[in-house]
Amino acid sequence: MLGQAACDSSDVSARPDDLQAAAVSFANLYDAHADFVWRNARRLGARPESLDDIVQDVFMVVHRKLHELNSRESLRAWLFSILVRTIQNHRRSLRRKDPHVRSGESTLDPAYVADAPQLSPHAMAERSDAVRLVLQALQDLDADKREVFILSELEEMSVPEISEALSVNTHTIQSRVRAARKQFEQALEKHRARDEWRLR
Amino acid sequence: MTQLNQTTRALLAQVRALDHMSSADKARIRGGLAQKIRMSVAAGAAVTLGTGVAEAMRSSVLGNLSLWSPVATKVIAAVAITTAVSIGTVRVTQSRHEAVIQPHEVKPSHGGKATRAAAAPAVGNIGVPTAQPSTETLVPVEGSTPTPTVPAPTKGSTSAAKSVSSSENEAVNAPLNPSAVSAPNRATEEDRASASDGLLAEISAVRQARAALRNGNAQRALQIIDSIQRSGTFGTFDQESVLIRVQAYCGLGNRAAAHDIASRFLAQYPESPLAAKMREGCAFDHEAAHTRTLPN
Repeated sequence: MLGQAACDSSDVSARPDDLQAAAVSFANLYDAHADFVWRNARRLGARPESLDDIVQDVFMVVHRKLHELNSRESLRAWLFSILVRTIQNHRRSLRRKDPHVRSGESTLDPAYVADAPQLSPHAMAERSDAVRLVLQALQDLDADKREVFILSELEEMSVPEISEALSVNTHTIQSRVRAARKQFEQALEKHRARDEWRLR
Repeated sequence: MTQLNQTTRALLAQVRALDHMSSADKARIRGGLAQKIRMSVAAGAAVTLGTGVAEAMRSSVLGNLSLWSPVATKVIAAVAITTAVSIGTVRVTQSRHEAVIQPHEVKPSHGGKATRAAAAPAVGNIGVPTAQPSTETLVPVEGSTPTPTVPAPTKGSTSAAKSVSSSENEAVNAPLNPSAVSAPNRATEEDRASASDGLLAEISAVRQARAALRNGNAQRALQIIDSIQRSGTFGTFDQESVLIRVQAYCGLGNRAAAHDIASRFLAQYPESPLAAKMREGCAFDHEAAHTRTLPN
């Protein structure tokens, strides 16, 4: 089903009405947005061992509720809202199994950085360091600020789009973005200082 | 809006450019997703099969459990609680009953005779309830009463009467002193409650036995007395029960048995308020007649 439809993976528009007009299959939607879901799952603090399940669960919901998607809705905003709820469900499930699991705890494994065989080992290490640093700093943010910061600074979404994704009004989004930037800078500074101390 | 500093913006740009899903990850997750979707569709198809299948599943216990698991859980919980409460009630009832019986079994009977529990006649299968005695559970049993073909009372009929029925003897040999069989030793609330229940059962049995005698059903009266004595509930109305037994034998025409029981009762309780009634019955008619016919 999925593999068969995935053969014609053309570009997918972000607007659902465009999706319908182009009769784009679910497989195309997965190909176009799996990366968005995957990387933001990591940024939101999903554990590496849960990543596959979380991405699959998000697309299971998409598969089930695609017909409910409002034509005026941003597909990325919709996906992100599903992702946030899916991660919350996974954390609750993990806490039930192991009460000692800390919320938002993420194991930052450089191996999870995207494969790029053409990069030199030095470039790979540099990239891993950059990603690891940002992921660590993100985990220091409050949950609501982290979500806003990811959508605003890493996904470069507009304030109305973020507002739609998080179901929060635009004024609140703007104030959260300001606070999140400040908090992120502080967190980044802290982690850099720690890294420098380690390298001494 | 507060802006990020240049270094941070450069770092974020680097991450935006580099932080992407690998093709291997994408393929792996896609495979798992396809599997999950297939299972989900299969499950959905199974659920939305024909109504016959769905109804069949609902009608079965397993179907109920699988389809209505929240309801099934509640039903099971309710049944479990009810069962637990029932078991607890039965245990309490049993313990109360044991509390009444226990003194009878432990305490030595009056005059070193058999205990009340042991005095239960081993004749027939009278349905003696293990808990509260009820006359509805009594069933007539052959052999529990002497046959009316017992020889007419004579002077030497006492020994014959003794061999009429072991149940009679045992019933007579049973302790007649109410203090010996009633009044539980431990004055706990539970014991008092069980004693009260036993007394009520005793009163009820005596009333029913008397009613049976009045209606001319001596056999029924005997059965009631046998049953209540076997249950170990008798105590307060022991003497009354002996009188009813004597009157019942009289009603059945078994004067020898009546005489034997009445004689022993009078020997044991000569000052009993029931002694006069014992003498008034058929048990001593022949003696009175014999006395009257004795030559001066």
